[in-house]
Amino acid sequence: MSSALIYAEDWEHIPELLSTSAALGLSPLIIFSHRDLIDIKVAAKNGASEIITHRLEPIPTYISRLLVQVISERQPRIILGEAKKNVREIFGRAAQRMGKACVNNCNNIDIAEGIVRIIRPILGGGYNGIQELIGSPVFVTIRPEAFKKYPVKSVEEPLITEIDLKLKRDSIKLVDKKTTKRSEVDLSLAKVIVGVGRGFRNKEDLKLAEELAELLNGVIGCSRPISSDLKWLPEDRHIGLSGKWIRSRLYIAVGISGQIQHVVGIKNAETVIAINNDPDAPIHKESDYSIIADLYEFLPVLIKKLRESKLRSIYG
Amino acid sequence: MLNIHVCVKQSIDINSLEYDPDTLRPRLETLQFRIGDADLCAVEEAVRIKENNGGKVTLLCAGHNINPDIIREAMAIGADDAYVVSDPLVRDADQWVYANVLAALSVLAGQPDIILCGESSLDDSAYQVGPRIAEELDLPSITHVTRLEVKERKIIAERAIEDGVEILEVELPVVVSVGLEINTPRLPSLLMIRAASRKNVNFIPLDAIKLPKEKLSSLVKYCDIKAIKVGRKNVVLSGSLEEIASMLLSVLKSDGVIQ
Ligand SMILES: Cc1cc2nc3c(=O)[nH]c(=O)nc-3n(C[C@H](O)[C@H](O)[C@H](O)COP(=O)(O)OP(=O)(O)OC[C@H]3O[C@@H](n4cnc5c(N)ncnc54)[C@H](O)[C@@H]3O)c2cc1C
Ligand SMILES: Nc1ncnc2c1ncn2[C@@H]1O[C@H](COP(=O)(O)O)[C@@H](O)[C@H]1O
Repeated sequence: MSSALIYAEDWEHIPELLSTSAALGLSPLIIFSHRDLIDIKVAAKNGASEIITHRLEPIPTYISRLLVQVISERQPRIILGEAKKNVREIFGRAAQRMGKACVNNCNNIDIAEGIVRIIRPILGGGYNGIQELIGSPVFVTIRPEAFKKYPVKSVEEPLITEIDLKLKRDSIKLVDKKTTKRSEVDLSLAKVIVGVGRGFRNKEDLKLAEELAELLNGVIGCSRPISSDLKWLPEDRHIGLSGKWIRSRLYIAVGISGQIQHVVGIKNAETVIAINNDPDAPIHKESDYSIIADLYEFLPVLIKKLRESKLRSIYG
Repeated sequence: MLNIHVCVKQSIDINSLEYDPDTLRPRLETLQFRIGDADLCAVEEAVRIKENNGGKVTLLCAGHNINPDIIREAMAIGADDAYVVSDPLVRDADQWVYANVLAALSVLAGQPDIILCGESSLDDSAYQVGPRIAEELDLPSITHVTRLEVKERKIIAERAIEDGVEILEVELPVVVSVGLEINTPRLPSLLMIRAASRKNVNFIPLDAIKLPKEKLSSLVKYCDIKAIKVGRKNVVLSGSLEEIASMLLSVLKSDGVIQ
């Protein structure tokens, strides 16, 4: 049997990462994580036989060196992690150090006849890249959509090993960290989403979209510039290649142009409606129903009509 | 005087790429190339650092059939020169191979203080060449940088992560991967474009960087590429705003979202 080494940046998705590894036929399952994060019960229940801990600050350059040390000792077949910014950087560095393959943001992973095959979004997200990874071990970060369900045998008590790194660590300093509160809603689970884009001229104007979302018992999502450039909404509200992939019953894109990197995140939405005053905006081609109108004129009319009608959202 | 290297990839222009509706594979005759958005942000940031601190900006590029005019478009932002490896052996390379070639090119171009990359390339979105180059050259790396300031022999960087913002202080030399939010690249004026047309693009033969064979063989191979096609209805609702709103409500009703 070949083992899987799971690198855990946080423990939110540890059960899914363990079951995905088991589904690939890998065992034993080993977790590598910061000492203060570990949850022995969760690990045991989900079949981890060993937890290797460290006490490093969250600086990828340093963590990657420790990871290389762990891999050299345990010789796993795959190093698996969630597709997050730190994890991708740690894996990229470690893979380079060891001369190994690394792929990020995978939407599917399989091992057939000893070969690891993955699917991941490429070319802006408009295409699936189907790739084979040569050599062993290989580094893979996966998107939550790719988690596999698999019944795992629980473990009595995982072995805990602490490892340390004796290297100079003074060239990078984490001076400060401002943590932003996470949204209460998880966009990838929402049934109705109103997406806002740069067609909105001010932050205050988002009220229009919020009102519509409220009437439909939905939530607000956005394009990347709204969260990352303008900071009108938290980072975890942005939809697309570098954000959330939604699976809602209804998505209403308001003032969003529909660039490939946004559209990849809405491909699994059931019904897509676009409100955009530019008839040539690419979002119209990606929609079931298009409304070519100024959002500032149309939204108030729609909201009023919806309010006056006896119609109510089925998602209460 | 800072020596700044910027990695720019000649990427597939995803906006002009079309696919065959039957096979869903990209149509090769629609292939066009350009430098990716994040890479252009990296060039812009390098030029700003040069303007504030003095220095020289050198572009690095690895690939096959590299068009010097595409490199010059990025140079027009304000880079001084470029080092390019354009070789059939670097065709269909993966990030392991690209990083090996770029690291070697950087050594050849001479002692960088800062190497800048985009956070991800336009076509491959692999999110790793920056960190890989750093590892290859034994340098610290930081990714997803949204603000950068150089102070003496240090950089102070703001880094956007999933749950907030980090402020990091890193000693030079360092490899920095920038996010799209760091700046808006300037549109070069005619004068800058003309100046760039006279700038030097150094094509370096692959032999000259002396990489062993294993550093030139890809570890990730494409088996297939398929467009993700979603059938949408593409119905345009038209009429007065009132009429459109009514139509939309009936759509939502028949869709079962409202009742
Ligand atoms: C590597 C990479 C990753 C990326 N990842 C993502 C991602 O995950 N998610 C994402 O969203 N983007 C992403 N992007 C950015 C993406 O390419 C686009 O730049 C972005 O989606 C555009 O946002 P927007 O539609 O809000 O703004 P714009 O493109 O500026 O569009 C605004 C739209 O509003 C319309 N409009 C203006 N005024 C009105 C009005 N009064 N009424 C109605 N309509 C109006 C305009 O016609 C226009 O179509 C990424 C880019 C790169 C290079
Ligand atoms: N072949 C290449 N030539 C030059 N720069 C590259 C190349 N590949 C990647 N890069 C740089 O590395 C960044 C990240 O690329 P990637 O890891 O492919 O997502 C890009 O934004 C470029 O700055």
